[in-house]
Amino acid sequence: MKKYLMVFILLLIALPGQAQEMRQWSPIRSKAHATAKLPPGAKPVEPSQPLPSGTLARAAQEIAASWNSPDFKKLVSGNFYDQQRLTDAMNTETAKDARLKVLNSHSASMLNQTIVPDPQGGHLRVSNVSVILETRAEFNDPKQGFISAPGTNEMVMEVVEKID
Amino acid sequence: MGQQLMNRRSAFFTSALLMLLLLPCFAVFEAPAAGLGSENVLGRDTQPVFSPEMKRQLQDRQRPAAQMTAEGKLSPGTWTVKILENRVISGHNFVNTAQPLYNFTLNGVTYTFDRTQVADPALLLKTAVTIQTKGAGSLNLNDPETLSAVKQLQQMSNGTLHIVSETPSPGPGPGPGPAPGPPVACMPAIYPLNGNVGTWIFLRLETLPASCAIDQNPAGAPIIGIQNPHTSCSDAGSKVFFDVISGEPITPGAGFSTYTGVCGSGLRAVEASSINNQFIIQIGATRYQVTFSAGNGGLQPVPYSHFGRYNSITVYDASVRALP
Repeated sequence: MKKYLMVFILLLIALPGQAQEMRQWSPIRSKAHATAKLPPGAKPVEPSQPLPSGTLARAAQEIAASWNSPDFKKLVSGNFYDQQRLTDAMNTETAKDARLKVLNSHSASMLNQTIVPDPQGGHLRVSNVSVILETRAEFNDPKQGFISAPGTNEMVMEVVEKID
Repeated sequence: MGQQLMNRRSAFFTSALLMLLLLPCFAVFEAPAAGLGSENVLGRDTQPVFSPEMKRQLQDRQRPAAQMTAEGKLSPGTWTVKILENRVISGHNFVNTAQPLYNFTLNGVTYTFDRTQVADPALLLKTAVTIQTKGAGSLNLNDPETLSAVKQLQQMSNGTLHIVSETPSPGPGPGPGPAPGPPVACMPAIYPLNGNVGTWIFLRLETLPASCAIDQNPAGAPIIGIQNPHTSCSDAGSKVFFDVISGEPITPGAGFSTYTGVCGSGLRAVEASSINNQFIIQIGATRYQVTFSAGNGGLQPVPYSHFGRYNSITVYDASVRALP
């Protein structure tokens, strides 16, 4: 009888433990998802579709590569609060030789996903994804020498995909 | 017979146990193949609409660049990623929007101007630096050519450019006038003010430069209060509020703005950054330059609104001086 019980328990443990299940990426619901205001004509995607593999990792590397350069502005959404001010601050307050490294990309969660009409025709799928990045800015200060400034930031990225 | 049956049962259970233990291992070996297969077969990267160049990029494991069709449309399957919001959790914020009015000092001369009023702040700053370097490292306001350039700067700044000469210009000529009074070296006290939230720093102007005495119940003397916003004020993270006690009429100068938002309506406020904040006000016939340092402090509570900024700020090292 004990053996039957043991087999039953092992079944319970082993079946959900398949490696394929571990590789699935399930969006985590958040308050922002429920309360997000949708733009006109936008239709929410339920359930949210996962992003193409490696999208966020590549985006994080692009952000790091273009940070503190004129190209960085291209990676900032027009809806970023006070976008111009960010560019100004980077021009005037960031050391010219400062470079950013992405040390780690922590958890990512889909805040919302919508399909909106593309002004150029067709439709776009717009996904707002929250990702926590561990970064380190490095630069040489004339007085203090080499500076390494680590930081952890939660960044909301807007992923726009052309779907048709 | 019974013993044989028991042995068979035992062998069956042992086999079942081994199978169950090995099952996850099979799944591990199986998973990469399934992952690769789904990526190659089902991924949008391999849609036949892609150009040969894009296919080559995909084969090289590169991100396909967004491509435009002949009609100027983004081709299906491509995507773009942009930063929408940012919130610092700890340490360095590499997407920091804190930028006050421009304030820079070159060789003892401080320039300030309101960025929001200038059409091209970068050009103005570049021009100022050019003038500075042209003058062999110093700004000679007695030089007619330099003075003309400074006037041009002031025009570019739409009247918001202020030049504060740290050292008086020698000799006669249309200089900037007498040197300003010495800055008040004092450590302002911090204490809460009744009827207001947050913490205020008070600077008494009347007794310059002898004292920065703090008086919670000032009588008559114009006193500037600088407030770090209350933490429940979720979009005030880069604002510092200030006010003048005792009802003195003030004329706002560079850096002054009126805040209207969730923290209140019509509040006197200045933009704040992590370094070199200043604003100028005029009380009566005297202009005062107030400088202070500010650092971003607390985090937005959860649930927070994504404004990419802090909701509290720390103000310290405030000083004030009378301008000529």
